[in-house]
Amino acid sequence: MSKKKSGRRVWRGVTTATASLLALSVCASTVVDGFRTDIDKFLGTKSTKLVTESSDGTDLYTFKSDYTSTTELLHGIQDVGERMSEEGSVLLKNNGALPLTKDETQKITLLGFSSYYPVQGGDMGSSLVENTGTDADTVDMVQAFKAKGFSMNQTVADMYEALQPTFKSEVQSWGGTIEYNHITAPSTTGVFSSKEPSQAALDGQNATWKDSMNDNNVMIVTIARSASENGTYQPGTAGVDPTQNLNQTDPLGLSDDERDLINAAVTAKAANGGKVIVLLNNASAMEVQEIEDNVGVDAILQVGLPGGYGFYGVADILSGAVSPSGHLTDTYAVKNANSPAAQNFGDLQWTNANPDISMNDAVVEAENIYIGYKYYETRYFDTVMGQGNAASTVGSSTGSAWNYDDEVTYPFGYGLSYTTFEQTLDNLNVDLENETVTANVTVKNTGSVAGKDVVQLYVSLPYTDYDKEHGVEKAAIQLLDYGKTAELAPGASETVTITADMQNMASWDSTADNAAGTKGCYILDAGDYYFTIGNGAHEAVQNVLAAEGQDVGGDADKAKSWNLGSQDTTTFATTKNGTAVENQLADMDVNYWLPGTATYLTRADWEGTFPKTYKDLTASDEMIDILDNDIYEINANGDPSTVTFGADNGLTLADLKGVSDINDERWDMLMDEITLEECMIRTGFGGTSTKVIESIMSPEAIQNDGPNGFNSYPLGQYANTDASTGDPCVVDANDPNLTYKMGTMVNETVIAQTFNKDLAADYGRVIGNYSLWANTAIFWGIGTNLHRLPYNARNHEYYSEDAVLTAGQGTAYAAAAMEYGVIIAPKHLAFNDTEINRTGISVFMTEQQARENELRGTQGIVENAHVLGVMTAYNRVGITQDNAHTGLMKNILRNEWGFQGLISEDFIQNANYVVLKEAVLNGVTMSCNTGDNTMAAVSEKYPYWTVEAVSQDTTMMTALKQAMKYQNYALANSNAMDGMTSSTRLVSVRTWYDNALVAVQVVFAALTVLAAAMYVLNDRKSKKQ
Amino acid sequence: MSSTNKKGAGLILSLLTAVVGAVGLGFCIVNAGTDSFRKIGTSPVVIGCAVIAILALVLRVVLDKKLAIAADAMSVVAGIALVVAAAQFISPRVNTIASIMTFTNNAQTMADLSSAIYGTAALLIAVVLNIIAAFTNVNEQ
Repeated sequence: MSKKKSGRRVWRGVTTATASLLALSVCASTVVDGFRTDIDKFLGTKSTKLVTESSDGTDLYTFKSDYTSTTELLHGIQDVGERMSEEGSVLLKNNGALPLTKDETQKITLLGFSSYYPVQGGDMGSSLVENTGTDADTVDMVQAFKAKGFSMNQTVADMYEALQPTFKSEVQSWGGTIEYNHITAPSTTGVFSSKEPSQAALDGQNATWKDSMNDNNVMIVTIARSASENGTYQPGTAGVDPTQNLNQTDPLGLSDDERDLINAAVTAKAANGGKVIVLLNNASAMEVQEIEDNVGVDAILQVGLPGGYGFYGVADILSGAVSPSGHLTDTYAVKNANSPAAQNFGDLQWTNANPDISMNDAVVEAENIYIGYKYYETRYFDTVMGQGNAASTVGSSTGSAWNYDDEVTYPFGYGLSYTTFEQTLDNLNVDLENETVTANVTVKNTGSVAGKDVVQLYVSLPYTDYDKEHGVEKAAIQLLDYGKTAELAPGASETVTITADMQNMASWDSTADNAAGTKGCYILDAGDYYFTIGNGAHEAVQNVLAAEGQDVGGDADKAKSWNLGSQDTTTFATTKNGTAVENQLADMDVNYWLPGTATYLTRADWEGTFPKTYKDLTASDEMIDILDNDIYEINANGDPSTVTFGADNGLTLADLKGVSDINDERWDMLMDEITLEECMIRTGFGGTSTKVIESIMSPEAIQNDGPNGFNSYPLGQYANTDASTGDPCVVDANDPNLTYKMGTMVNETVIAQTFNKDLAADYGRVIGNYSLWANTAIFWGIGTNLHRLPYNARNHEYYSEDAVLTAGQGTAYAAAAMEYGVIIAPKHLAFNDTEINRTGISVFMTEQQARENELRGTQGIVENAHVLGVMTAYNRVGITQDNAHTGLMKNILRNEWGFQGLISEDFIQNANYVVLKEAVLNGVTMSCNTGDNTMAAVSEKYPYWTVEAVSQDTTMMTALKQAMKYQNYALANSNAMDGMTSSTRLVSVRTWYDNALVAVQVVFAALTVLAAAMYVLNDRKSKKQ
Repeated sequence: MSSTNKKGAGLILSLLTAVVGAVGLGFCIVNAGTDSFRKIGTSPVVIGCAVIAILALVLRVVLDKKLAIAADAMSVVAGIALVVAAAQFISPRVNTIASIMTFTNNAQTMADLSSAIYGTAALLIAVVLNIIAAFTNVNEQ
């Protein structure tokens, strides 16, 4: 009896187990198909491959690398990384202590835990990838200094090593907690905790540690602040850990432990006769007035986030091998929290916030155009001129009358050298017809060591009664363009010619008549314009004031004036491609929707209009109709038969390889071959790599994130190991460099601090070369949002508070990279200047502010480098989701700027917030979602996205084909097409996991059938018995 | 000879599996109401399969003495239904979970994520319990 029972039990159990596992494996197949692209990326497998039968001798590889091996490539990257820090570190203070002598480099004490665990990349976003076993292994500060022959105090190093558990930080990531030894940035809801060990802790670890500095008396103190995507420094004491009581008034200011450390070095110096050098290891501008004022601190060098090789460059500066030539790209304010922009920053929720439609925050950027130096230098100008209530106490950080010297520690553009230079503005020519300002500046090295110098060309626009009446704001000084000399020997000179684009000095007037017959135009007011040069924006504005007869220490000889007799509203009424401009962003002004809500700052009255904090706003019903992200309704319209799909015109995308004329008739012939389903799937499931479109043989193009390099995948993941293809960038499968991951460059603020377009281009070249070797054609690699405030912890991925510098570096970088066929894309378009509730936040500002600040930073890159890709933003533009904003996406980006490439959304997963139908109408070519390559899967995610509905909507179908045209135009003009001809065919490849899944299914199916059969047999046997 | 009607471990395990499955279903429903996952919701397949599994487990207990083969088949049905429920629940959530663990990581989204994790875990635990239960008898004689 027990045997029969046990037989039934066993076979019942086995059948249940195998049937469950069979069900699991079948479900896994379904899931795998839906995430195939991501799985392939994770495992390094390929589910499809391109087979090219013959090439008729034609070279299939359009784009060529400068390198013949991965070794050369990696050496190239390392070289650029080192030079970026040589030229992008900024010497802020120096009483002659730097450079160090050879002897002094043998007596270094590194103080501060950040010396041993520096911040070399972001906690998230542009993170440093530590590479070992390659031809370009990354190094930290200690390793780099040792490699350069420095000798460091081991006693102090050992002391910090022993204290390591005390300065660990935790960051929430990937659902868990990651521990770091370097300082980390707070989350969007967190506070900053100082981790610097106190003097008591140091003494407790080693009571005699200070004695070791008697000989090692070159004391280098590193003070660091990290950076991170999805991170924020909250202004003031609210952003500081309340349990610490370290007299830290701002997370970007010093804590007592940091002060005490610096002062301990200063005190030691009194006895050991050495030097105290402070390294600032930060991306967001810190509050460092007290370090500047500390007479015991001999030198301050700002090094940014140096990436994997930048500390070699820092060592070169310290030793004097090179002279520093970097300049700040942000204003270092005494108190960041007192800026006008800081009055509207943080988690400012709608009273009727609604998570169902991703409606959370509303920030009114009431500072108008006055961010960074545009605020500080303009208000300074007005205090000198005694106008606009500039000297009011409102906004003053001291409570007394606003005084520039109390508000700014280091101005935008400021930087020192080991030598001295004399710059003379030889001549200047304003050519309004050709829209250029050409300046010749002779730079002479008047010092005793070689060095490079930056020429910064500024313009001061007249602020007129017209402007006051029409609400047009003018900064007293703004960067117009810049250049950099070669290395000049002592006594040598170079004349730098700068040809600036006058578009960058035109002002947006929302009330002006325009060429389109509506309102909104760029204008040049009648009046006197001053062009000047200087070591930073403050010196520049002082030169202008001197030219205007003010005695403020400026040099009137360095300013040249130009008079415009009458207002010009025609020169910039059309863009470079001839498109008439008009107001497109009026709905970004909160007063458009809620009249009388906000007063934007005007220099006509600093006191009366200094921003209030706008919070607890309530969206009206009219606004909710747009905030609900359902703006367009798919409907039957037009004649659907006029939109052709699925034609057989005998073309493939390879037939249009390199065809840069988007009006070539073959583009439309090719697009007629695509199917409606393919268009709908490819836009809805754009994914993190563009998938294949079989009807036109459009290849998969791998996307990669930046901007500190191709940091998503290792070099070898998609590299070509098949030499028979004739690929000049084929690699050996055993090449140790294939494990290299290029998250290694300095961060963008350092790149900008070089003020060197040629060096930015050098970075573009290594990026372009890497793209060829790694076969990653799309690179979200140019961060172009502006530093509205230092409090955004993601500032490390953007260049500056200034748009012209952003556009200048970005353009040089992109143009160079594109010579190698990489689709290098600016991100994020636009207004993503905070990480707090970035998915959903409504950003409000004036159109002038939008165009002259944020958009100007990207406009130059699109118009001049003709980039083929753009990534959009998480936030709303006013109340309209970024991708749904026709004025921005279609009218400005596509029409005004002439952008013709692919557009990807950012990683928006919420189907409602993806605003797919609106995005497609605006020319967005892909969302970031992935899924099964079927209409069923797409329609499940977006219920309105069905063939039945869309096939009746002529407008939508036309937009879909246009989107695919842009997307494939970009791919055809990139290295994604290398190796392909018109005969290339896509072949499916079964991966090992496909085979494994099938094997598992077969096995479990067989076992299930067997177990069930045994169960039945056992039952019959027991019944017979 | 008189027969004894002793209950086996299969009774407790089957009922425990049903309870764990119900808990899993509960977390799935809770998760479908969170801010992060509301737009995804919970498909009828998930609810249907979870309910089928729970009913199957109850039927296994009820039918064991009267219709043994049918009762045993309920183990298989329950196992398949629980697997399908878990897969159909987690699959549409993968991208949102990836987003929460990286780009949109904050206290609220992590709290929303927890019910997704608990729901999936409970359903998978129920699958394992069901397999163990299938190797045990509801009634011992």
